Amino acid sequence: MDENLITLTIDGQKVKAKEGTTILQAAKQAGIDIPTLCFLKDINEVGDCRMCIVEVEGRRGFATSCIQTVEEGMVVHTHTPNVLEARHVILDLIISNHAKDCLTCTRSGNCELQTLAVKFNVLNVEFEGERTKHKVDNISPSIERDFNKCILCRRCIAACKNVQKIGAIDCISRGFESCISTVGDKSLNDVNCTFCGQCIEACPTGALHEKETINDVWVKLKDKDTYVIVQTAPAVRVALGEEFGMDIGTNVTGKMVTALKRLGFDKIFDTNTGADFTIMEEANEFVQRIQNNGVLPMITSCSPGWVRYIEMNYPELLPHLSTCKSPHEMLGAILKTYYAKKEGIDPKNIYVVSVMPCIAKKFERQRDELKNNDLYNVDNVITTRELSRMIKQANIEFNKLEDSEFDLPLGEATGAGAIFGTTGGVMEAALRTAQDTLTGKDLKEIDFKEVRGGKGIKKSKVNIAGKDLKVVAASGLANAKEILEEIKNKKADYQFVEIMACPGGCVMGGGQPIKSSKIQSEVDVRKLRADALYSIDEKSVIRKSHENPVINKVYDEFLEKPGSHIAHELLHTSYKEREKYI
Amino acid sequence: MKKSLDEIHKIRIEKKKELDLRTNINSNTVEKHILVCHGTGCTSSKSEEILENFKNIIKEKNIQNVRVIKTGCFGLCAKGPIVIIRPEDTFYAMVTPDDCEEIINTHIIEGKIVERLLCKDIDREKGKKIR
Amino acid sequence: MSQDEVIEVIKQSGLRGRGGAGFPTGKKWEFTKASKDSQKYVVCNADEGDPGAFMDRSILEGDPHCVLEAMAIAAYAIGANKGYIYVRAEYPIAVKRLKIAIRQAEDYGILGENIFDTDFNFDIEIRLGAGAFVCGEETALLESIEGKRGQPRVKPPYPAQSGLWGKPTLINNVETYANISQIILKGSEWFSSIGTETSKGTKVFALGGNVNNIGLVEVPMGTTLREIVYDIGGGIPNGRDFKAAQTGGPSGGCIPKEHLDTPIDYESLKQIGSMMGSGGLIVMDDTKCMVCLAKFYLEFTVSESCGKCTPCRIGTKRMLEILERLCAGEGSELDIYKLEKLAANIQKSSICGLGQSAPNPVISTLKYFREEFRQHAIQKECKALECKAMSKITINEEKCKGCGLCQKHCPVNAIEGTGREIRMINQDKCIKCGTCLTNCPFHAIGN
Repeated sequence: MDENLITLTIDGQKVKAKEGTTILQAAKQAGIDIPTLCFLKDINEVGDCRMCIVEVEGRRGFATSCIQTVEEGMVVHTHTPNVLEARHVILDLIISNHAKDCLTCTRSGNCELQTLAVKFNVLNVEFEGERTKHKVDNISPSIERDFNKCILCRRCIAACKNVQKIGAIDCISRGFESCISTVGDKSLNDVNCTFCGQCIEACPTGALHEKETINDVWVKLKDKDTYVIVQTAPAVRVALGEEFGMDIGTNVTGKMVTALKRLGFDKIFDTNTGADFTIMEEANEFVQRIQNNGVLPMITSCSPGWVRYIEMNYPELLPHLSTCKSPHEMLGAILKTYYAKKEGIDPKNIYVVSVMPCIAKKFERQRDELKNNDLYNVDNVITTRELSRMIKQANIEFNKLEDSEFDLPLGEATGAGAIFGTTGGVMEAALRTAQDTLTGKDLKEIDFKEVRGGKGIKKSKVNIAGKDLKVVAASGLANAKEILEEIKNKKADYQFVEIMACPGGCVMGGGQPIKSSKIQSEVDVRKLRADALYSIDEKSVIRKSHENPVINKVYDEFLEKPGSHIAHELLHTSYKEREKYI
Repeated sequence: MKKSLDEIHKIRIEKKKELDLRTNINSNTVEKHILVCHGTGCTSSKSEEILENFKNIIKEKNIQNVRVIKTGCFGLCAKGPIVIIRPEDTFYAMVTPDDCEEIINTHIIEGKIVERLLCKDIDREKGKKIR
Repeated sequence: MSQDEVIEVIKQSGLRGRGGAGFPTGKKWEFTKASKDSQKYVVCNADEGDPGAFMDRSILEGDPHCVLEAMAIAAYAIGANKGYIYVRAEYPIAVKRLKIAIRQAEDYGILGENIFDTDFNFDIEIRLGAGAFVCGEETALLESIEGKRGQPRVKPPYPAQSGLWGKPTLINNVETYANISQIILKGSEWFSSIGTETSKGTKVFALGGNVNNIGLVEVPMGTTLREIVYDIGGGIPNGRDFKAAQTGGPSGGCIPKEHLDTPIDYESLKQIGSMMGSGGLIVMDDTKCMVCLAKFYLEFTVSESCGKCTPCRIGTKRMLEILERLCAGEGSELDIYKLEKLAANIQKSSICGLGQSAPNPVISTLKYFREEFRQHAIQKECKALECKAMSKITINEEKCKGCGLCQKHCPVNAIEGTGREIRMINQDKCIKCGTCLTNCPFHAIGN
């Protein structure tokens, strides 16, 4: 290892770095934080914004530190008067073409441009001039785009085109008129966008954000005639704390439930319980498919961005998709039937709010297929970020809250439900149940470590009841595409496939707290949040969905058995081919 | 059609003779070349039509030993279309398709220069320098 | 000749890139040969985009074979087997003739497989540019050949190391290639005997503007600007005075009267704040306003910037806005300071040559004609009378004979008065077209 080390000098410090390290990384090692804006580790390393310029002795012009690699004996200066002046000018220019309405911006306080403006103490904009004007695109149920705040860093393009391999957005026009747009300058709603929201997570400013729907929640909460039930997805509880300054991956389940109670929700239930229903149905469907020579491999259907993707891009493979609704939709359906009847509430008066790490869920909620008795299963979906805003608006000091428990009965969940929030989790939970179902035993070996971890595609062979099963868990749509191509070309020999639209699964969803480029390059956000979910699973008393007493009770009293007629009606759905461009 | 190195060499020697005809001003040569510029500037001011006219008139009048050749840019685009007659090296500028008849009659048949079309504001010394 | 011998001859000849920057061609070939890879490419940059420049076009239309031959020589020398010519779609004749030439060369076996019964293979494909000026920048050109949006890449790595599809790529300009066969044929001594100490050979310029003979001129390096303008170009029309010449198009700068005797070569031009560029040479007489000139070139770069990096995308736009203010008589002295600050920083921090050189027209006009900028900013005056907003056309009452000719020609009926009355111009209506000025027989109308 040592012989590959390169010695260079940065701001007078001797730094040793591996060959191929960028100047930016090497500086970071030495505790020097060169400002960046367009840089997003492993995703967007193109050197567009020019904030990261540094002086390298003996070289004409500035070097782009986020791209250029270290060389032996290189002498780098990161804050000479020349560099500082150039950075000031560049920042000034960016701000001159920015909407600057920080007071009315959702990203105020978590905006990378704002951070830089503070760092450089920009007190007035020297080079004011014409600003490019853009119409706000707020047609889709999931994403709003306001390019008056766009600084053309192109991180969103990289996330969409390179990470997800969708390419719904790209740069159009030239020079000052350049802007990020879609095919034919249409709304994101009308093009091949899957609403995964990875662009939002990549955006340094407020140009991209979810379509906020918390006002409707406030109104319903105040309405005496409406019975407002909230449910929270597994990934929300390990990320919500970040919005209140807690460490990444802090499990705040107890505080979250208390806060929801304070907000005035009539009942607080757990989407993890919905996930347990999903496992019951999905494991049953899987066993059925295996036993009756059904279409294999079966692919999971929990991720609405992923479902939208396959409907648009591989409609011929839709029979592979499990017909199970996603967990929060299942829970919603049960709330408006079984629970309503039991509690004697008119289902029309029930308003189900789902707190999700996801913006595609906002779109999913409106699907006609997800209605029963003319009522949507879920009435509103808000993101983790939106929930944090509600808590703040309600003057709740989140960090000081006591813990409390979910309401019963539909707040009792298993560890299997918790790990739904990370890639490989649905697979693992389903295997736990399938294993017991097929063997008829209560097996103790329930950790399927092969499908854990951050790799985009995790292939594995598991032995269940003497039968070898080939399974694969893929996250991120680029990886999904790879698996789908294998299936399409008949090169796949898997029986069970889990796919999540977001790289890393729901913990990295488009509705989660946004982490700056700096944080993303310094810590593995996905791992910290996923580890928190696995730790919830480990500490759970019940770790298999089919052992959840609530689930069994609902089946006994109402649903009969997994795959029954009524279960099909309430917990399963259908898909349709979808036009990419409307 | 693939040619060997030798064959290409032979082609070169042959073509060289033709080119010499243009560069060595020698009034004894029998053949005359009418060079019509086909650069973009001249083409856009109808040099293709000029070329056609020359060819047609020569065919009509059955004139021998005259070849009409399209060439690349001479550089004096503002003065185009340009027609040069070799070997005497007469430089006509801003020629129109209607002038072809006169050039053939006066220059080729009678052997007199069409004064009105001569490129006058460049003296011959400097003109050479430009080329 | 061996590969190294070819490169040695080119190196000895002292040939430098004719595309603008003047990088030694032989060295470029040597670097590309030194890059180890089984696949290499040779690219010809024929995306000639400078306004008023058409040297490459004349070469491609007049003698496309010389470019093909040179590309084959280059491919042999560096070990490539595939070539691309990136030519603008706006040159249809050039494209047509290139296609014919490629077909002829393939028929004769000069391009293709086992050329002259050796194991050297080489074929050439044409790629059409869709009109973006920035695609003349070598890395943006490569992106465009790859089928992507024409945006430059950050250098290093240089194309010689990682070019087309990440492979070592030799990219030269049309005019550079046009010199190659002659150098091989006549030897490096012949070539290096022409020109100056550091700039060898000849250079073609597209001479235009206020000069009598407009067109293409080829002169040995080191010829002075005066010789080109007065001897070859035939001087300035209408007996006007020479004010400045602009070389290098939107990336270059202006050369004022006091530098008329500067020998034209890469170094001398750079020293006086201009550059060789691809060879556009525009002559301006004393009716030209230098602020307007700078504005004209900025307009060009602003609309041709690819928009990738901040300084070029927004910075050039801000510079243009300032120049527009100055020309409209709305500027201030502070604007000149801002211009200089922007210019210096855009030059240093842009990604590619387009951005880095975009401020050059402003920097050089400011250097030589600062007083003119100050007049615009402080006195709100354009001595060259080009800035319409600041000029006010008036009729000299002593000279006017009341003939009414001006009135007759005025397109907007801005001139008042009847019979033999002395005429007056209604400034609210006047559009400053200058028609009255040229039609007054008594020279009574002026600014």
